[in-house]
Amino acid sequence: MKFLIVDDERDVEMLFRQKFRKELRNGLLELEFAFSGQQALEILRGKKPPEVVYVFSDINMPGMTGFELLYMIKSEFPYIKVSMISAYGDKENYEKAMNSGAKGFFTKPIDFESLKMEIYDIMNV
Amino acid sequence: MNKFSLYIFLFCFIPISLKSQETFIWNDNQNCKDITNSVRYVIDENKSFSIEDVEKLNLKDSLKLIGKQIFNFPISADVFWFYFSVKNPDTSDLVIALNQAVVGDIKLFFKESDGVWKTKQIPQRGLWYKKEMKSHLNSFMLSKNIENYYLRIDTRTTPFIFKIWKKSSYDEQTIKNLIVLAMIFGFMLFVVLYNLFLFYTSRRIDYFLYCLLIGGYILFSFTNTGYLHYLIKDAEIWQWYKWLPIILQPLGMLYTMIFLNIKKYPLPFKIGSALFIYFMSYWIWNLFLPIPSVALISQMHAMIGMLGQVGLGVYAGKKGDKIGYYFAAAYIMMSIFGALDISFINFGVPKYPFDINYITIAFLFEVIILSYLLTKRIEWENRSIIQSREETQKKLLATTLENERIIKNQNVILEQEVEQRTKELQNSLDHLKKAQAQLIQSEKMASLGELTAGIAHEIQNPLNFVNNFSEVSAELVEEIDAELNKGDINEAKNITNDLKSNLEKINHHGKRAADIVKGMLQHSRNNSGQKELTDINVLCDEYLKLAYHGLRAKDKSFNATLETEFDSSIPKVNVVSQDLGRVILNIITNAFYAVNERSKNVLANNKDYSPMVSIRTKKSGNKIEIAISDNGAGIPNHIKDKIFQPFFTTKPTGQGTGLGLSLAYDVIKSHDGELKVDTEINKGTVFTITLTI
Repeated sequence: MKFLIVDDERDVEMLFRQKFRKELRNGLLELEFAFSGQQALEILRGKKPPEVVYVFSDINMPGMTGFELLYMIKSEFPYIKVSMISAYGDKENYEKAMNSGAKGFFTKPIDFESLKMEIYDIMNV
Repeated sequence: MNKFSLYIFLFCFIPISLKSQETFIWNDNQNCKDITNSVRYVIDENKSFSIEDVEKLNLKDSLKLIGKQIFNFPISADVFWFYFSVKNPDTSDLVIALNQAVVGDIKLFFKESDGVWKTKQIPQRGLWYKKEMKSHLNSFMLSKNIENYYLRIDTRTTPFIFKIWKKSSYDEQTIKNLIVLAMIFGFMLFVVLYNLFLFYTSRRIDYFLYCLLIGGYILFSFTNTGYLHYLIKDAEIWQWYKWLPIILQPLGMLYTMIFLNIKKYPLPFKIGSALFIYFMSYWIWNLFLPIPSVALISQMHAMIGMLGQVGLGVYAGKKGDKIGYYFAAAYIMMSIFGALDISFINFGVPKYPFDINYITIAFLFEVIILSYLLTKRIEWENRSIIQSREETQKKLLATTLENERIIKNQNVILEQEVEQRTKELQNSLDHLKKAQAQLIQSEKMASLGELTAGIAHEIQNPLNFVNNFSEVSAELVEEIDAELNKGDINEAKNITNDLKSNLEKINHHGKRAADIVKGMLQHSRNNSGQKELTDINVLCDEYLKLAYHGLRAKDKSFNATLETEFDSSIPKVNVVSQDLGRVILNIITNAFYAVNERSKNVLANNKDYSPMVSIRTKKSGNKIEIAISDNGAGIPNHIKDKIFQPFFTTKPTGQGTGLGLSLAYDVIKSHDGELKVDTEINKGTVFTITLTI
């Protein structure tokens, strides 16, 4: 099962790979990283149908914002789940994300336990 | 018939015997003899007498003896008959001469030896050249052998004097008189020309009027004395004698009023004008009068006019125009001569000097005095002009000096005031400088405040990594333990490598956070001012992020697309990085503010709008351009010029200091750069910073 993480901070990749080290080694989980919304879309459009089932995206990114990416994914690939990750976990952002079709909303610093639970949820279903 | 002849004879004889004692006996020792005293006369009221009638009356002794030095008759339209008797035993030719030139019809009757009446006549139209005697006066040659003569005189004017002249002396006298008159004429002509010249140069109408008056006087004198015939061949002397005073009277009055500038004095002006109009009217109403009355009234007018002229002169004199007194004196002089003339007319004394009548002399004096006055007046006027000019200059000088003094005083006061003001200004300038420094500081702090959230966010990110990696590292250590316990040394080594790079990451992000804090400190530090080689792209990116997160922290609903386009060929530039950073921050913050405002408006209007702020750097030649653009509402034209002014802000009170762009402008200026703005309503705004490498 393939997950796509979108964040302009490149170190996020290393962090995720270490956090999900076991799952990755077991092959239970596949992670892909994009450093901008544009790159994320390119990855999604790269394979038809896309392998990615779930996208975690940062909101504040140069260029395309997380919300824009959310709209694009929801309109192009409505079956792909999207959750937002943001340092700004305020009500406005949360509601905006949820109203736009996001599955979940995670705040930074990322609580990897809840993130793991979300991922496991998806994998079990 | 015989009887009749006898009567005649007796009549002839008796009077001769009777009048023998009145017969004037000439002798050649004298040149002339006045016989007026012994002339007899009779008035022919109906103009019906013949010479025979008069002779009869004479024989009856009915003619009256004049018995005076002068024959002064009342003015009437009557005809006068005169009788005189002359005996000339000597050899000279004799002439009977009247002193008058202005007479009407005049006839001399005498009986020749054959007893027939002979007549000599001087026609009323004074054809001088037809006269027996070529004289300006009325005169007849007397026959050698005839004693008794009768004169019939029709229209008359002034009194008569009868003189018997030796013809040679009379001719001589005529020539002498002519010379004197010619001199007077010449003089007056000179005066006329002189005044014409004055008129020509001064353009004053009184000089011209005066020329006319003198011309009139000359003509009148010539008329009066009979010389007019020398000038005008067929002149009808009586008419000239009548009309000249009528015409000259109002002219004289007009001249007086203009000369004395009577217009200045209301009452005299009225009187003078009234007289002038009255004299003018006489031009008409004299036509309805009997001829002798016309002359009499003219004489009255002359007296009235003279009085008026003297009065006006004295009045003007009293009013300060001294020329008035001279003028009055001239006319008093004329009056004196007029009086002399009247005296002569009535009493025969004093006699005319050189046979020139007093009126002519009066005219002469008047001409001399008035000409002198007219000349003097120019001089006086010039003098008074010069005087008033000098006075004006003196006043001007005094005023100038006074002004100078006032100005000097005021200069001193002004200098003191300026000094005082300068001190005050210096004080307030110092205050202002302090205030400015404070404001700049507070602007810095304000922008720092804007940054705080951004900085917090920026620090948050590395701190998150530090936390995350340290957590993961702790987990990794546990995993290493587990692998070692399992005896999988290779896997343990792999994890150790990860752990190592994690620690590097922790170090990296820790440094990153430290750098941000350092930047924050730099930003708020006073007067750092040190130029250092700075990567413009990094600076731009850093502040873009700071600004974005700063605004984002304040207004959570805010979102905007950030576009960056950095030219990697830009070398490091020597700038005061925190100053330039603040400029970039300020402009970006403004851009965010602009798109946010528009976004709020657009949201209210349900329109499609995606806020966007972009920052672009570009190298062209030796210049670096930093362009910060937004797609906000744009800057209206009327405030475009004001945006760089200190304290100008469109933000609500308390939200902006109004110093941001003003300071930005100063910073760019101090870097020898340029800060330009391009804006279009509803399209957006681009601020471009141009720096020289």
